Amino acid sequence: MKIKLFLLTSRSRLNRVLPSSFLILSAIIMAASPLAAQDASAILDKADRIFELDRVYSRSTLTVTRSGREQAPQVMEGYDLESSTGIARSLSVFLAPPRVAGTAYLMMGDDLWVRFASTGRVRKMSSSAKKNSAAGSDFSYADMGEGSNSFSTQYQASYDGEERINGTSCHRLILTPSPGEQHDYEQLTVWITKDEGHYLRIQYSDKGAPVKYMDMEDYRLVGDIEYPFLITMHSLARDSVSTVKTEVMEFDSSKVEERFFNTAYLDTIR
Amino acid sequence: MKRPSSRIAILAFTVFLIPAAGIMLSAEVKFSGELKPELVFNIPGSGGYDNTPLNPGNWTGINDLMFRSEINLKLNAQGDTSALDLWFQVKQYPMADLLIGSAFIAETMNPGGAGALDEYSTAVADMFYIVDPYIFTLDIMRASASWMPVDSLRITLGRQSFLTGYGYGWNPVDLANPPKDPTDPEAYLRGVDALNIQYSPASWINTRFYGAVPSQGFAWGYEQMLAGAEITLSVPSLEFKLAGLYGGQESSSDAYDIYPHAGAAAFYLDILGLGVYGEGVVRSRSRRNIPADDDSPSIIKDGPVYSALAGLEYYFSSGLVLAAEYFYNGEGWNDKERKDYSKSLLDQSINEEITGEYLALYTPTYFARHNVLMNLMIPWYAIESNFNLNLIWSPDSASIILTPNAVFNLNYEGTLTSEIWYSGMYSYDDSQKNEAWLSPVKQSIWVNLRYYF
Repeated sequence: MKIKLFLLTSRSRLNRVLPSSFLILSAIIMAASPLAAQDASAILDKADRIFELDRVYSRSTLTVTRSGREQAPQVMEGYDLESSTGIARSLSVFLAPPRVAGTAYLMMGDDLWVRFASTGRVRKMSSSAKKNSAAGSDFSYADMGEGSNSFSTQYQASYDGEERINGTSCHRLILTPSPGEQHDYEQLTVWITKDEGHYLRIQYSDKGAPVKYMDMEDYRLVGDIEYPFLITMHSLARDSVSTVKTEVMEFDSSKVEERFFNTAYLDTIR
Repeated sequence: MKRPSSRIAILAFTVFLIPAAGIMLSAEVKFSGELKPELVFNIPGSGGYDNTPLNPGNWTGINDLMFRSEINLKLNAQGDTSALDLWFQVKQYPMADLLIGSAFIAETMNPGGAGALDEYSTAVADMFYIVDPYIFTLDIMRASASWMPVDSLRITLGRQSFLTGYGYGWNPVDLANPPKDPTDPEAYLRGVDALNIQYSPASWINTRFYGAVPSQGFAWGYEQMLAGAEITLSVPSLEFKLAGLYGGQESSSDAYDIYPHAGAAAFYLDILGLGVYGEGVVRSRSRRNIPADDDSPSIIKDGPVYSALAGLEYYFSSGLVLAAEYFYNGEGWNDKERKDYSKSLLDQSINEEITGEYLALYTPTYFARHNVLMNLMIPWYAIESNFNLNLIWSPDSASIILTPNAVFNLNYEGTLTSEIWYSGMYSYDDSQKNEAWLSPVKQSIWVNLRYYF
């Protein structure tokens, strides 16, 4: 009803410059929009099941390849646990190579603390640091630490059609930050497989242009949720690819303890 | 009653070893470390290295090329309710280093130690050995055992880190450690001997209460004990610290005291990604003497003194990190005191004998009262490197210290890096009373390798 009213009020201005067939097409598109939005939300909700995992322990290897040259693999442990008030919290601890071993990042909501391996000092950092490359990779600290925040809670989704990615038929959705949400990227384009409802690719755009995209593969069952054990971030700004290969993933893990999400715990990391 | 220090040392070592052995048997043990050989290329000024009253006749033996090496050995054992931390540092460095970068450390260790370099050098390490022109030192950087009876409580005994604060160059809120060197924050990381009780009942509050002893020696009188506390409060986008230290020798007004009573506060505020931070401290008196205007001993500066730091930092999406800090050093010298220092050194240098205490009063980056630091860090990911530019400007003493450096990763395993570092001190007036003019080496290039294991 609102759409009809909109068309009626708009016609007097528009029909001077637009043919009537265009208006009819517009009406069809506008009328279809709520349905597409509903579908987009449902598709996104299904893919977002990977974020339902809580109390997650993981051990993974981050490998950066720049200009075709592979750099030293970085081994890290991750601990994720949502707070009782719903704040996403994560702790990442680097185990290798030796020069970064003992470096740790604690994120609680928008707040970030770092434990520097060279001095052992723990320091709060500005939230702008989250945009920066994590350990020299194509992932930002935010990409790595905000893994427990689902996209559907942070972004508004709109359906943008279908596309085959690597031979797999996918839904393509455009995500823009929800009102009041602040994000490091102004838009995400996500490809979700039609059959399984898995994220297959996420493209990050900023200042009107795509800056990088992330492929997610090797989905395996963790509890009753399928999770990608191989995540690859491709930079579009430089010749660089970063891969996170998960070796161990446990959810509802006893290895994740409440005391880890405290700056006092960072003092104890070596 | 004073006990023989060797007996105390054995007792302390035994008390430490018993819990340590227990922890090691029941915990995951990590061994790591690094080896750092380093070459220093000094660039002589127009008058060589003795064109300053600090180094008459080049008595410290500064030369064009100097070699340093450093080995760090770390052992850590973590159990569910206990932990052990050991870190030894062995260094070989030229005695000339005492004038190039380490003097500020020595000042806090042995400020009243007048006399020959040998006496003065005992201040810089737990053990030392001199084979002219080198000093070999062994430092126990960390030696502590921890017990965590419950998640929120950690009790640590032994030498441990108390590093705190937000400033990159200076940390007025850090009451337990000697002042750090803004040109090389990793230069001196030795822990503090203390019993430390950390209690963190919730993620938004951390507290620590400690009893500590001065940084050198094995035996102390009760009057030398220190008591300190720090509380850290966090809410989203804001962190706040309050700290206090009750020093030991306050009653003796004629004794030099590096731990006067002090109260400090610090904050870190995140405003839309811009980090805004500040630190401030009030001490019951200065830790730094003022020079006499002749060759007499330096003079204790009594009365409250305050220092404060204000800083900003921002991380750009390109990876560039920019930090700027202003540091008001209440323990710094005014114009007359700097002039007196130069004059006193000139008087002493006529006899080519600088007293240890005057040598130790030479503290670049803590010399004057007003200091500004600009830091730029740019990573160059394609070659696994990063570049850092540090500029410290002291407007009241008219000096600039410039230290650009670059760190390169050299191998696939990520175990070998190299750092190239330039250090330049510039005086932009001819008053002959600032740290740059006094420095016997104004420009150096440092090249090192670091092997991590």
